[in-house]
Amino acid sequence: MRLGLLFLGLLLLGPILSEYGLKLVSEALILGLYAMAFNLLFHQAGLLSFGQAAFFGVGAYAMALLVSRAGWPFLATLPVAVLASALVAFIIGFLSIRLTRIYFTMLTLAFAQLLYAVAHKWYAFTGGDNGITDLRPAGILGESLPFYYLTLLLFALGVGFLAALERSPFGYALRGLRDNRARAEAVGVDGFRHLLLAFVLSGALSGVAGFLQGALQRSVFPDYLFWTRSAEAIISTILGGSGVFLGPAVGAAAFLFLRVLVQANTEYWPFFLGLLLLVMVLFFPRGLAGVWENLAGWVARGVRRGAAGG
Amino acid sequence: MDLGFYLLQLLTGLAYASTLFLLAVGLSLIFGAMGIVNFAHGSFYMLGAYLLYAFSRGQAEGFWTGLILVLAAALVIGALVERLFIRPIYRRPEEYQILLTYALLLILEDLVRFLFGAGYRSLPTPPAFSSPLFLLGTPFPSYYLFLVGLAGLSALLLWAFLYRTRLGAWVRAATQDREMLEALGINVPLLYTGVFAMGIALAALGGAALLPLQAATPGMAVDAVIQAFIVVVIGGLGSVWGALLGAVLIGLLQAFGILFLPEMAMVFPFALMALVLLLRPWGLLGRPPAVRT
Amino acid sequence: MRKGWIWFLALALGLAWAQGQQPIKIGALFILSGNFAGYGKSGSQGAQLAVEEINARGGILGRPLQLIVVDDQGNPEVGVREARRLILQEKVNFLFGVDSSSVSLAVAPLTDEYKIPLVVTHAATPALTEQCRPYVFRTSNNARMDAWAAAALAATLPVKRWANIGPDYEFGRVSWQDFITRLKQLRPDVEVVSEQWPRFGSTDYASFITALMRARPEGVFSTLWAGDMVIFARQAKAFGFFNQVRYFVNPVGAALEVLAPLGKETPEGLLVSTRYWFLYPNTERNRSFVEAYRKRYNEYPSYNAQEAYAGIHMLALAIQKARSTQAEAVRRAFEADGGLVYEAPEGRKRMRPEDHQVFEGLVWGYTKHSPNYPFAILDRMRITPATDTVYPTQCKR
Repeated sequence: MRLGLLFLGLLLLGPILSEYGLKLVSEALILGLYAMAFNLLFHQAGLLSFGQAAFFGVGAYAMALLVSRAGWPFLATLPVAVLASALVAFIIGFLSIRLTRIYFTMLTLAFAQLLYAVAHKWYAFTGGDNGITDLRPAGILGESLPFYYLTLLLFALGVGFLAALERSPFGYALRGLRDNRARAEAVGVDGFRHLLLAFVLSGALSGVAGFLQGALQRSVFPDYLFWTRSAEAIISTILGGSGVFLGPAVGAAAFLFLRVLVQANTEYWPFFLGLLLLVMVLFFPRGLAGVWENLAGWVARGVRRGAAGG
Repeated sequence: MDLGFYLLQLLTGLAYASTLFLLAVGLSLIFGAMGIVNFAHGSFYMLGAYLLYAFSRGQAEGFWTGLILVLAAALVIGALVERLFIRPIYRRPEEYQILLTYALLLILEDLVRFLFGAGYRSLPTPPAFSSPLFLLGTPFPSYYLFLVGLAGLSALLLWAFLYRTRLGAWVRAATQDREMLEALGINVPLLYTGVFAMGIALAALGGAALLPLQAATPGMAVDAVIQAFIVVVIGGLGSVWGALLGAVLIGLLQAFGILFLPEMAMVFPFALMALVLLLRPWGLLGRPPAVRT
Repeated sequence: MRKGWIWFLALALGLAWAQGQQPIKIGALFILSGNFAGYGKSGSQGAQLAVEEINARGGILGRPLQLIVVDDQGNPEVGVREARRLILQEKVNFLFGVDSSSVSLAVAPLTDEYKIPLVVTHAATPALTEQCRPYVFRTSNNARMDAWAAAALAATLPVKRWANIGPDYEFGRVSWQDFITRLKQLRPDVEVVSEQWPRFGSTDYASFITALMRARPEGVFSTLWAGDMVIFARQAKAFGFFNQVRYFVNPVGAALEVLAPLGKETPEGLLVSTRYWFLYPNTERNRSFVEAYRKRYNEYPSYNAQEAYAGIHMLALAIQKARSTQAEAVRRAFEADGGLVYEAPEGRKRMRPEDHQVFEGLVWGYTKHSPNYPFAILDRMRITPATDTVYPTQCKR
């Protein structure tokens, strides 16, 4: 219900936004979808992936290669982008999920960096660090408003899917594995298969985000696979609050808007980001969602006290 | 001739390994004893280089006193950082540790850029090492041998500290069972502060010792910490000897790899890291993690 | 009634005047943070100086220039985001600058989409101008011109055994390919004895240096630049590399961003070039530019500073000639009469109409220390004429 209202609000926002606003909100939705996909692994399954960029990048490169080398129409590449990133997620997941905690994190990082090196070095295929450019979708999707609606549609589908997943038996099984794997497996949950499926779904959704980002930016570069891209998912999620369903998307939007704002005025964006992260981790570990709840709590308490006093 | 060349290549690989070891061993120590994933480790490596530049005023003659001042300063900075920022997050999950230390990395990078500017800073080789040695007729810079010696000495001292002193025994015990140490009446927080400061000082020493061969820039921290992670993951997170082995492997892989596959120099480290993680996830000399219940 | 008419006229004239006073906005993308911030800083300084000069003369078409500099972090995604903000929010008329090749390639498609011209003053990938985009112009040398100039020079050296050490990315790869292909055309007898590809941003070159020395090359071509070149030069010198290798040829080695930090440690006798060397040519034009730059910023102008400075002036010239800031008119002004010509401090720049690439002579020299400067300067200078760098293009107009 609340999700429906959010989507409706975003739907109505479209025509009001300026062209630049459309680009920004589109990018925020893409980053939001990406962070939500990461949080499926992180919050539901308790897996900290530092290689999420691999799936984002594979989705983007699948789209870019088919459009620029094979002349496919942009939209037709969506199923391939999803399949390609799901396949890569299956392979990386299959090899990584056996590991726990920091070792899992490091192995996902290593795989993503290897893919980065491949994209960077394999000139004949990927164009190396010259990237693949001129990816403006042909026809109406090359315009800002229609593209915004496509992004919104895919965002809504992805988020709706994640919401359904959270309430499904699969979601309960994941959280059971996260909280106590031994007990969950004792009651008959196949840990490896559940986690692998979560990994593949998370990878496929990240691929959708990459697919959209490449078209929005009109180009795809090896940076899409670099570890800083994986860090963006983690930052957005912690910033927004991993424990709240829409937290990562809110965090992604906040991250992006803040970045644009700070960058327009200073060249000290790293410093500001560092300061923000420091404050969030030390004082607001539950993210913006936590800040919101605290504020609401104070207000409620204040009202109650006021009522009692009056 | 060729044997001489391979010996030379072995030495250059070891010299590279020495720098990697100084960079990575503190990271491993801090993770082993405190369980902290210190993403800011490269920043202290960078800070070491910049501090030496500042203390020596860019003069080679100021190298030795500068080096000692860097060590002292790094110990103080390390202790302060641990008290102010690391202590609140001991019991928090890895992602908070990664984010907090990443935040420190970003802040330090801009701070250094603000103070020293974005240009490259370096220092001439100290006078004692200005002329090369001749090995089998080939000139070999004596400073590299100093680096190998410095790394070897650090490893030896670290080993003596960890295995021959009571304090070292506590540090090793901290990797196993913190509660037990507390029960014995040991001031664990103070111990942690000390370990963190020591790890930071080692990184700063590495950065400072490399200044005569390199050029310091604010952006060097990110690159350094990724290199350090590769080394300690290969060797085994938390293992001092693992850091040494990982550094030597990466160093030799580069020195000899480029002779046969010069195209692939960039891929070697990550390929080795992924291979090790697949075959022996806890690293070559690491211990498998205890099964959580 | 009559009075009202005069008021109306005054108002209309006032409006027209205000319209004319609207600044011409130039949005510049430079790297202002991270490892290459030094390059972006000097680029933005050079551009700023040119804007101030032009405005002091009363601007262009009676309108002042306004420079908006933003940090693209050398990241193509940030570059596109910022370029869009400049176009859509700041309403700039032109995009300008760009240090990183990948950023330039990422931003280039926006010029077609929004009909906003882009004048590139640093990014050097030949691919940028080989895309034949109507609104992309490069007023500085590209890597292919540098490599061809190096090959022309190398062909005159008594060297048969060549080796390469370059950063492992597109710039290093393409430069070496262009250099050796061209050199083999000019001198079929040369051979390649070793190729080394350290990762861009490497900090340890010892193994690469000994591997190179083992191959006993007589000449080494290199496109290591920025910190990589600084670190390589110091480490190679310690190995006696420059005593063994007779000719070390680096087309980007004489950048002040390299020579200044190396200071007195620069090995002597390296055959290096740069897109602009502040002591050449010894003309009134160049001397007054160096003087003005030093007065304004208290440092010598690096190549990136001069290229950005010249780029602004060349763009202003095109706007003047077009009598408009419209993309199409400016394009025609750049292309007309066999290509726009501008007398820069470094000498004549001529734009090739087909691919919008500027061609110019290049200065080479052997590094040598001088008591007058805290860094090495170029000695025994050799000039490669612009004609030696003119490679064929596929673009047509």
